[in-house]
Amino acid sequence: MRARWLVAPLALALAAGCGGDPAGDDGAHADANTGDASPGCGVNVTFSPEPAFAGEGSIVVATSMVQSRPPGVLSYQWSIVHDGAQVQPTPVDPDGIAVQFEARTAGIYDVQLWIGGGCEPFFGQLNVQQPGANTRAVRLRFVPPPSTAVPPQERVVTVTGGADYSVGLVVLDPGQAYPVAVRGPGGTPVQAYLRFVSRATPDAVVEGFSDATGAASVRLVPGLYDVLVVPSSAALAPRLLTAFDPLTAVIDVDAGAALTGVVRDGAGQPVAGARVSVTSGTVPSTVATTGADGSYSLRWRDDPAAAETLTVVPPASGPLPRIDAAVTATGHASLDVRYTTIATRDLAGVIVRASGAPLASTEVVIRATVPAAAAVLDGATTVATPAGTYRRLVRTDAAGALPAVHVARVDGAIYAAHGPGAAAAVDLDGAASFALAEVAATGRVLTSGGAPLAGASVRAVLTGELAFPGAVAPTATTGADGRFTLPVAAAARYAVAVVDPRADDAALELVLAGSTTPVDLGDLRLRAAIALVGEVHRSGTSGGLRGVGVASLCHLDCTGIDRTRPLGSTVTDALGAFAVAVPDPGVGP
Amino acid sequence: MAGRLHHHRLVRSGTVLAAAAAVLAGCFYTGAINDRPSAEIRRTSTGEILRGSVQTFAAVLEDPNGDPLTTHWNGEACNQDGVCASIQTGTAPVFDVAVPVDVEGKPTVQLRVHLDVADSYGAVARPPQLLELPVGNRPPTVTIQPHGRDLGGRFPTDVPIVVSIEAGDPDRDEVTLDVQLFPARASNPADRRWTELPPPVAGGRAWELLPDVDGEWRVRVIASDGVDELVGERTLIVAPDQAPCLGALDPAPAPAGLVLDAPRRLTVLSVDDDLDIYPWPPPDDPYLGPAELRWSVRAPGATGFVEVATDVAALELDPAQFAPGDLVGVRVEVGDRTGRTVACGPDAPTCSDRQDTCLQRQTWFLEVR
Repeated sequence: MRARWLVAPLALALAAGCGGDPAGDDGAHADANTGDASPGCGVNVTFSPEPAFAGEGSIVVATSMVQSRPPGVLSYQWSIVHDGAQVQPTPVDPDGIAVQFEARTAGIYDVQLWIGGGCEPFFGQLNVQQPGANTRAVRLRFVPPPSTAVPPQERVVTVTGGADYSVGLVVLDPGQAYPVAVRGPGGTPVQAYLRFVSRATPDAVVEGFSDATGAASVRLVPGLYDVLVVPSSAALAPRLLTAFDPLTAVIDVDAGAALTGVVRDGAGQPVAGARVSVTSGTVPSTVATTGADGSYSLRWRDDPAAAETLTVVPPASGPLPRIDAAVTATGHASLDVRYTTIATRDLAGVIVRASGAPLASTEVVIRATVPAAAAVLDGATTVATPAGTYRRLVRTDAAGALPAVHVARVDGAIYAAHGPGAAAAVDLDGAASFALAEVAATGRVLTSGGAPLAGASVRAVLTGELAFPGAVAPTATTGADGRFTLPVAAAARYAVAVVDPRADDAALELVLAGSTTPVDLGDLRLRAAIALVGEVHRSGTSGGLRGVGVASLCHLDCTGIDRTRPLGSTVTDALGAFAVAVPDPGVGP
Repeated sequence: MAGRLHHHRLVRSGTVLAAAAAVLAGCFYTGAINDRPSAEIRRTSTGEILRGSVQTFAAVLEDPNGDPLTTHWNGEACNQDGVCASIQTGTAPVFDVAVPVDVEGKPTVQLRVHLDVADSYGAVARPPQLLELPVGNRPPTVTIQPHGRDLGGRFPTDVPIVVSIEAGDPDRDEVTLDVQLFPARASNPADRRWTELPPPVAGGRAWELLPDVDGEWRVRVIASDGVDELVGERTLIVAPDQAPCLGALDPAPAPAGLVLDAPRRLTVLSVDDDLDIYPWPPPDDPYLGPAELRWSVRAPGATGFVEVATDVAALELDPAQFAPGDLVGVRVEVGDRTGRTVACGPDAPTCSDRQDTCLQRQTWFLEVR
């Protein structure tokens, strides 16, 4: 009979999404079966000491408690399994109501107890810790399949090092579908994008949309949310509502404040077709496009406490760069942009080569930066002088020649999605061709135990200013000696991931800074992995939830998109059980 | 009192002897003749009598003379061979008897309760009170659970299916199993495998089936507790390879534009398939393989999607790579070892080759801010 978890006090802590350490410092998960048992007759087991530590002669006492005890004589049958082997329990009393066993090694101890009499059997797990084990807070993100209508949720667990760890039962709240009406001035319906960020677990985001009638239905776990509202209409300003209770059911948006201005080039001529937006804190504005006279008008909300960024993106076919200007002062109603005079060059006809041959019909990214490319003016006052960035994604023709593309006559970088990727730092001023190059990144992958690891995957993903969707991601597999050679684009920056395909060790990630010469990464020693195991249920049901994506993620030691890059991932099986890898926090210093 | 005792003795010796004795004694007592008490067994427990249960009986007594009465209970249990054993005696008006699971190793099928009643003069109730009650047997239970690479309950050929069989008996009888395999019609005995595995740690028994052809395979289990049998059957559908299904995605794809105002990661968390899955199986798995994930992007202003990556489970997008107001499309499609192509046209945001919820294509649209 397979364990069917019920909500135990510790599991309730998990279900509450309380952050902290829901798995409990005690490390015990005591839950019972819901089989064909006598109603009301339940068995629970407590462990002493809690937490339990492993070691020679380390004794753990398990004591049973029977609720609604049936008449007659009960027989206590205990089973304790650790690492697939039975651990012999010794009765503490004549009936075996309590037993003790030796917890010689750290890890998860599966404890089962049958008492007969029609009572539910007990299934539970005890985490026995390694003395001196380090701890690490890990987020677990649960993404149920769409058919379950359960919103994504996160939990934070504090994992101890040195052994696998059970988080026990994870009860996902199906939440409820909240009807939300988005209204504009005068109560008019507003079509909008809605992003609900839970105050309890800010990384668990739920997105939705209101339709043309302003109606949205969003399935949320009850609680408070910060809600970003981005109306489809350019006449209405996006808005952030803080501590929004979904029961409120109504979200009002309005036109906000107007920000107007004119964009001019270095000659003082208006720039038409430039996209202009401003971000105040995390709240974007509407997006305006400059007219023939270079003017724009957008709607926004000026948060005095937030940093603001004005973004201007002129047409890519033109000679002007993008600017992202940090605007320090607040209360602006008008911001003009005046580009400086930038010496540019049309690269049409310039040949791109790799290994001496033209790169025909190849995606090419050209990147250059111009300091102080523009002045941002509030009236006569200059409030920012941002740098300008050129980032042009073009395609060479059959002869390897670039199309018409204007860039500043400065030192820049170019990358071609060719082979493993080829790149170079280039002079955009006068060169008639660009010679791109590959370099070799070499290294040796070792297991956490220090042995060469054969078959490991080494994958480099382009990052930074040259990155774009579709960029080549060079990949290599280590040989029997653990060594690899990875061809990468010279001068390009990569995020390198080393993965043990058997998942015995945790993945390793490192940054490969741009280099024009071969790079020896040396010995890359993987960290040991431990498994976090548990069982996912939907609240109110006794069966496990199948097909739930489970990702382990960093918690306290990461920001930005790193918070979405998993340490390990898996999916729950037919019983809702999962085992996901995380780097072992280790034992001792 | 003496007369009544005397009379009682006469009764025990016979009517003629009594009359003679009365004459010899020089008296003829016609007043108080001791009458027999009457007794009846009443079962106060309700429901079917099951082994292991406690049954309660009460003596319904009456003595015409109001004499004190003594009761003697005897409980017997009998097995299916008719072998009986005394299991409990008692003298109280209420008699509790625990029905044993077996008698001499064989299931109890009958409970007999005897009640003897006598009054203080020794007169016993007639007729003797005996209840013979059938003891019910609850049949065994059996669960047949296949574990393998199924998709929607359909298993591929030439991939092992472990069939776990758990039997139990609510009366705790020993259960014997007769496990039979009925292969699909086209199966060749030389090409299929049906072998019992070592007993699982969790209990029960397990067999491994390696089906060699498509079709319906049936596993029949006859469980017997010595009294009753239960026949359990499970049909295993073995079918040709099916298209994989995209499972959990993060974020959920949306028909309208999600806002791309910070770097975002679009992730496939699971692919459900009979053989080719994500998370990817270990490279040395003899049966499973990796699902093929194909990512494509529709750049702002472009009309079609261009493939940008394969064999990765996530794609990251940075708004800095686009201009505010750009609308970017990101598409993921899943394939398996059969290399089948997604059956829908390029404009369809989703696609299912079975016209159901199993999707091989999903599309996100993101608006850059």
